[in-house]
Amino acid sequence: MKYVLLIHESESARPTTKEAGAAVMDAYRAFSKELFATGRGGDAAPLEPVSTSTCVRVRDKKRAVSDGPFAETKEQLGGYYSVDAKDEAEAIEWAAKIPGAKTGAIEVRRLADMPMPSMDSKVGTASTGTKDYIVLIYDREEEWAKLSEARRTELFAAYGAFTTAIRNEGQFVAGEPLTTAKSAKIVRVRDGKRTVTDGPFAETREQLGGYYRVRAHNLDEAVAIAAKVPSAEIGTIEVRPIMDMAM
Amino acid sequence: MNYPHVVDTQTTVILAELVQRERRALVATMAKRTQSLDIAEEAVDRAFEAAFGQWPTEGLPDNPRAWLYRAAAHKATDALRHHKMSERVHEELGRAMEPAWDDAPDSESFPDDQLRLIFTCCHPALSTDAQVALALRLLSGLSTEEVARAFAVPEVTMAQRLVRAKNKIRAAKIPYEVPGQSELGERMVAVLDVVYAIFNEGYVATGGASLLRVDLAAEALRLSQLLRALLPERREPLSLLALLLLIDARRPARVSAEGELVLLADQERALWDRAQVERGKALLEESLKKPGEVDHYAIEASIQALHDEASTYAETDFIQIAALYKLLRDRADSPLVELNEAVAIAMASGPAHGLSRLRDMKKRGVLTEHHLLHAAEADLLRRLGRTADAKAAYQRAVGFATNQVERAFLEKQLRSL
Repeated sequence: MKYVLLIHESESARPTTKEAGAAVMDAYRAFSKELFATGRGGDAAPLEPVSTSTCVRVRDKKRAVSDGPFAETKEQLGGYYSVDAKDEAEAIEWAAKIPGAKTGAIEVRRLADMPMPSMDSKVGTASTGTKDYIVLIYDREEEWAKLSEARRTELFAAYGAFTTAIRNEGQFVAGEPLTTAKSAKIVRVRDGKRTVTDGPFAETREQLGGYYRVRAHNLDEAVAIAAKVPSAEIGTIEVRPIMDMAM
Repeated sequence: MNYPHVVDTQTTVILAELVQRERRALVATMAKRTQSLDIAEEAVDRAFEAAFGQWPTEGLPDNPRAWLYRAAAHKATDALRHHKMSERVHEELGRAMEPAWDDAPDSESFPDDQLRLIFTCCHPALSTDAQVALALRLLSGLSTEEVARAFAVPEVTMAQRLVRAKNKIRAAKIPYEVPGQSELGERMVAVLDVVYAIFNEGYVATGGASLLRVDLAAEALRLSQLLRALLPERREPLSLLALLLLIDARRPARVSAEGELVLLADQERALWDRAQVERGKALLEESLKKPGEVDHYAIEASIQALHDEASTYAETDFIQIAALYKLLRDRADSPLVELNEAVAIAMASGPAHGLSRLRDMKKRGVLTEHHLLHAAEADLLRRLGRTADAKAAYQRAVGFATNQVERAFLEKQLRSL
């Protein structure tokens, strides 16, 4: 089973001194080392603060671009790991080990079974002048539930075509559809004690339904990719730069 | 930025003029070469500081502009070294910084560099507040303190806003580019909207005591002229410049000697700047002659031209004005445009007609908490002789007004009933 572990933390609680920052970095490096040593870790990335976010919506074929994150929340998405765990319990074990679990919350989401194009096609490689962005897809889950079977098949096909297109352009790095926000588990660790609660992590009208990690030359190119995500016409797509550092 | 005080006033005056005239072009060129707004701004400001330090004692250099470009290029190269870039990147940028500046460009050259700067400052991924602040700081060359004062916010707030915007430009890699042809139209409209926002902020301050902020209106006019020069093929920059000139021509009559707001109906029309009206009208005609669909700035300019042409308020062609507002609403519905249309209808067909339009807006919850709707309603009720109702409407308007001058005006109207 594949899961994505979303790290939500209050940005105002980010370390302010160099020493504290280095300590947090060391803790994350140690976690990454442990995870990747098992061969079960997938794509992972730390994100730039929400103040660098841009939202994209497409309505009546017209694109609207605006400053800011999708929602102003107390805790913000700061990064993620994807893991291959044998079950939810094991995914929760990994989540509890993420340093951010002690200060914020880790949202554990299983990846949805959705027909995706084969993984052997071209994957974007780092080259000078490119930057990675996370493209977060916020959809209204109840709208999806209401869709007819035919319309849903059509949207899946559109997603398939979109993914193939950005792969062929060398813009695709990673991307996964998620199961519903309600099915998520929220993991927090305080004073060594672990609490696990049911999702959704945040009560918003639209929920995170999936993401892509894309490689682009600049924000305009990333926004152009985001505008082509099929959900851009019904939901909101948030584009956030990924920090230039290994996780 | 604080420049040291110098004794040689003549040199200081020349320098102050150069800051005003050349800062934008210098920042634009340096930003293009360093790919960093921060480094570019810092380098240009340090070059000016050096000039303020040296020129008064050592005399003006033969070519002041070339001196500034060279100095800024040196400072930028130093800064790049400090930014610990990889050797290769540094070498590349170093080479890019090399050209001799003896034939330095003037503020009219490198239009593409300046356009890049404009499109970066007014990028839709930045908030409108940030776009306006960046435009005034980087395009108009106002200091952070001046921009803060213009918007009646503390300097530290404005400084944070600017830092945040520049961080986003850097972290999200907002490109330093002129958009491609397919996007140019849409992006250009966004730039013009920023300029119009600056003008309106200068015209009616949303907070604070002073109604007119001449600096901002003048800056907006300057930026509008620049855009017209940089995008000569386009209709919209021409229309916006016409619009701003036609409104700004009435400025001398808009506030009384006592600093009180004077309504268009009561303005001393002899005070209007006739030459400026003619310039605005000529530009509007030029814009209307261009092929393609008329833009909304041209329609707004046409409305202002009708106001400017009327010898008295009563003689204004309100039938045509109401029709033009309707045209604007058909393109993009907006509550304030609807309000203006209702006022024009009241003038053309009588207060009762206008009043029924206002009532319809209130029923739909449009502008119910905006002082202008209640002020317009009060005025129409007053003209119908319904004094008690007019008083109540003025009281509501006073409650919603945020600008002190406007509130004082509404209170005076209330007292006069």
